[in-house]
Amino acid sequence: MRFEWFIAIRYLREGKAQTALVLGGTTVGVAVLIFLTALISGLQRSLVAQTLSAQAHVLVKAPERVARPLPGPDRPADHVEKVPDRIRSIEQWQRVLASIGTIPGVLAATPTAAGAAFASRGPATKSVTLRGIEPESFARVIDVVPKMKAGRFSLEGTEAIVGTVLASDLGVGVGDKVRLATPEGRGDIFTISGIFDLGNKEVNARWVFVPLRSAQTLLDVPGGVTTIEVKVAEIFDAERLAREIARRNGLSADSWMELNQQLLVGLRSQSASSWMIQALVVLAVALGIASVLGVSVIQKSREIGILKATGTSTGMVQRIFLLEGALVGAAGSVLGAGVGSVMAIAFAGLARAPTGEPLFPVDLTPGLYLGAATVAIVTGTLAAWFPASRAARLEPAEVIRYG
Amino acid sequence: MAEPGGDVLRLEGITRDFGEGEARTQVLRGVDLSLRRGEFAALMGPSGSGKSTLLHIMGLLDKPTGGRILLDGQDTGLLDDDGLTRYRGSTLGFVFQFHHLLPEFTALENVMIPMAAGKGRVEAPMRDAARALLDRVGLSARADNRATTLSGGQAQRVAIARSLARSPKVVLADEPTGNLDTQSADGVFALLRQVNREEQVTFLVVTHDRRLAERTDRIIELVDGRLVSDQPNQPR
Repeated sequence: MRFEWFIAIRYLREGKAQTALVLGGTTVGVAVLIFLTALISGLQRSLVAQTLSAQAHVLVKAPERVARPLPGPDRPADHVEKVPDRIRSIEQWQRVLASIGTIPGVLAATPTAAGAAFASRGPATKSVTLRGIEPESFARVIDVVPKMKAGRFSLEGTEAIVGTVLASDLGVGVGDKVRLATPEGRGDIFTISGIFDLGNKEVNARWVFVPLRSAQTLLDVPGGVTTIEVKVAEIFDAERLAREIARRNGLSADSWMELNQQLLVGLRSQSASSWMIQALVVLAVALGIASVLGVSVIQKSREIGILKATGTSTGMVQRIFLLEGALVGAAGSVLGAGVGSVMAIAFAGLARAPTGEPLFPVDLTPGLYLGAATVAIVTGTLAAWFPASRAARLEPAEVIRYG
Repeated sequence: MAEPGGDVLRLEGITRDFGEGEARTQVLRGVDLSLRRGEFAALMGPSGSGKSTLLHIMGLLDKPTGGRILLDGQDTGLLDDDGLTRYRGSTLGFVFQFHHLLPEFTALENVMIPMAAGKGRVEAPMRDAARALLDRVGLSARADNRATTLSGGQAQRVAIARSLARSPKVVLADEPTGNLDTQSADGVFALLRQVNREEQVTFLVVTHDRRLAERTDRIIELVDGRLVSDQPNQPR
């Protein structure tokens, strides 16, 4: 065993009250770190997951048409009218789809043809969003299969899939028929093959999935698609990838981040306040370790003098106290990880939604433990720096004589 | 290297001042002194005469304001702090008035610490060596007792074993019996003398006790920072 370890471990073991004090402080600090981070990141992950349950990470559309006045001095334009928003198809969408699929970071992409329509059964009529999709590729972009409440997620011929709210509004179930018609008057009868619950009331009330071909006919975009929906590997990379897609294809591409800016601002300020609290906790722990070790150096002045008189170098003395700080940090991170995990799990268990799902999902990852342990050990070592330097500077002749 | 009977420690014109300006006091005023290998000398003098300061300077625990220290042929003024620590560890042993054992450690571990500090590691053979030294001072039975559970005389014997841990050339003892009853004091003094005779280790013992000083080979007297007397003695 290295000499410094031998002395440092013994000092910690024998200085029972002091060791318990700093270890307790460090444990609480690490526990707060673990608990807070697990809670905040779990909460944020669940908020984002909730948001993205019915939303693609990137939405690619045809570029917006901008009206420009014709040039020429003889016909000055008083004002320029905006082009009426009509359903427009993405040009050469098959090529675009293939090109998006080759961008690194993109997991899947699916074409959809979407537009407004009415769904009616008997006297009941509801305004809906018609979404023509290819079920297989769509399911790779939006995880809809596990969210099916009845029937199956497949579309053949004139089948349609509706949300739970719309199904109850219209009073339909799997196997029933509904009429879907566009405001322009094109319509057809569809058989309900499945009912979904995407966890969003608006979506459950308005979305109707039909085969891409049927939607193209109803919306009068033969062979065309209005959007390409993209799933990416790293959700916070969506903005960059959206820009990349737009640049490559000359299309308009919006990331979920752009479409949910308020959520993002909320997440960022939440993270910032959590960081602030954690920084203060780390500071408090550091001050605690520094002051207790400082007192211990004063109490041990004479012993340190004796150690030096008997051949212990200045560097060794310094390392003994740095090591004490690091060991307190290491032991505190083990205990704190336990306490913090128990706190987080207990908290998640206390607050449950009526469905039994935890309201506050916690994110206890190996990375979190590793991070907290690193912070604790580094903090312990840095906090020990001042007491250790003080110990190293002690003059043996003085402390042996005067204590 | 010092020849047998040659100087193992030589002080040349050692001065030591404390304080600055008006408050400056000269504690040592030019001390020349040599210790021969295997010698057993007593350093006497009234309180405040500079005995402890001189001992600390000889022990490289303190630096002189002026003068030169040659230890085992090495001019110690040429060593940096780490060099001094290493040299001190390998050539010098200390016994203090209060045993100054480390209370967190057992008697055995206290003896091992200088060995471990010298090597930077705690190694198994050090245990055996430390046990042999405790055996030497008659305390092997208490090897695993905490330093705090030993009596004054026992603790001072452990401190002597510790001072011998790295086979020093010179042992400096600052009133090693000053805190002991007469019987323990005689025992400890006899032990120092025995080690001196058997291993030819040089001893310089600071003492107030004329009776004990009479048992050494040489009596050096310091008054007001100057050597006033340096007489060979025929131990009784």
